[in-house]
Amino acid sequence: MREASATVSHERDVVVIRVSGYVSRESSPELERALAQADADRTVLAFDDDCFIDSTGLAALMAFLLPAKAAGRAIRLVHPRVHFRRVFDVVGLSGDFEVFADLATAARPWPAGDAGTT
Amino acid sequence: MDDGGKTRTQLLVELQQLRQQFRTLSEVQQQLIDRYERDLRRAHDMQMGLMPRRAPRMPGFDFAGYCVPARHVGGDLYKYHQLQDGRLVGLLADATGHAMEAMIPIMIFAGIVESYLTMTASVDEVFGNLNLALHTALPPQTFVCLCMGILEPRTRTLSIANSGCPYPFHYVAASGTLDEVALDGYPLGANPAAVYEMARIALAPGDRVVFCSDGVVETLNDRGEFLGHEGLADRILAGCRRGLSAREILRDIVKDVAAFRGDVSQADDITGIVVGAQERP
Repeated sequence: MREASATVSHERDVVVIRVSGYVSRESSPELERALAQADADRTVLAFDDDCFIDSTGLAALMAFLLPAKAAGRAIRLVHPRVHFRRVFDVVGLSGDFEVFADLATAARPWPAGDAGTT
Repeated sequence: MDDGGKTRTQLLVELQQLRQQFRTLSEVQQQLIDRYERDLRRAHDMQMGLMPRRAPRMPGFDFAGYCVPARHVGGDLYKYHQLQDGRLVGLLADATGHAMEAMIPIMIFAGIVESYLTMTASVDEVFGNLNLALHTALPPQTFVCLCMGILEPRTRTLSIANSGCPYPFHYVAASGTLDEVALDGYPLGANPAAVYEMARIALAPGDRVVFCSDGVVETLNDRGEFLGHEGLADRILAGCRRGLSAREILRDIVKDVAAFRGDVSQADDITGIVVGAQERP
């Protein structure tokens, strides 16, 4: 499976980072680059249906999600596959970040003053 | 004479020299491969030496454990630890990554957890202490998922804490159902502020508790499908309803995982522990 790639787009005041491919430790620079481009308080990190995330990919995700949350950024996660939404639960990410099955729902308007708290 | 101005004899001599050089290079390459294989075998033996040679014995319970790295070495580990007060600790751990990059953190973890289990007065505190210790000790983006059960034989209760491992399954014999022990938590070392909860379950005769690493649920077949939690749950439930022992259940899980995978090579380490509750002695 090809290495992960990420694209950044804007929908109203929300930045959407779409990730596809195999997310592993090698994806760190790509994810960091995308997050750096996503200069907004509200970000949706949307994984494509074909996106496989291994344990090193989860570690890479946590390495930038946790500091981003601490810095006051609100981030929503999307993965269409039940398996990976469940993985987000198991590893504790769902406790700090809202998790959705589809981008349309995740990108819906955020409550006012919601940045940094989910 | 040939086009390069060399005689046939000269060409034959050069060919002979090239053959000799090739043989020498092949021998050196084979020596390097042999040395690498030997080092990996030693590392494999060292890692497997951390795991129990046999299951613990405790009246009224039976236990089984299993670990097969995907390569020579891996990041999975399971252990038992007998506490002085009679309780038994069983743990299943999985470090970030694969092969050697995961083996080294799991060896570090094995040393730290052993110290904490020996020295910490309250086992409940072990997760918090381990989390802080590993946050400092491990390289960046390197974490350890840990699921730990503490069996109190007198009260027949199993206390479970979890930091990122798949949820353990609890087969309740009285109802014939399989429950998940849904405990979420950041992998150890990922978030120094993480707090870990502990669930307590009462074990009745016939009950089983199954712990598995993510390598089991993420087993892929040739159609790119996961075995998944549901697939694993179905298999465990079938074995429990047949009244299989801890060892038999684990054996069946391993066989079923191999059958599901088919010709696809094992991508991740596969580790499991099964605890079975029998009639009181």
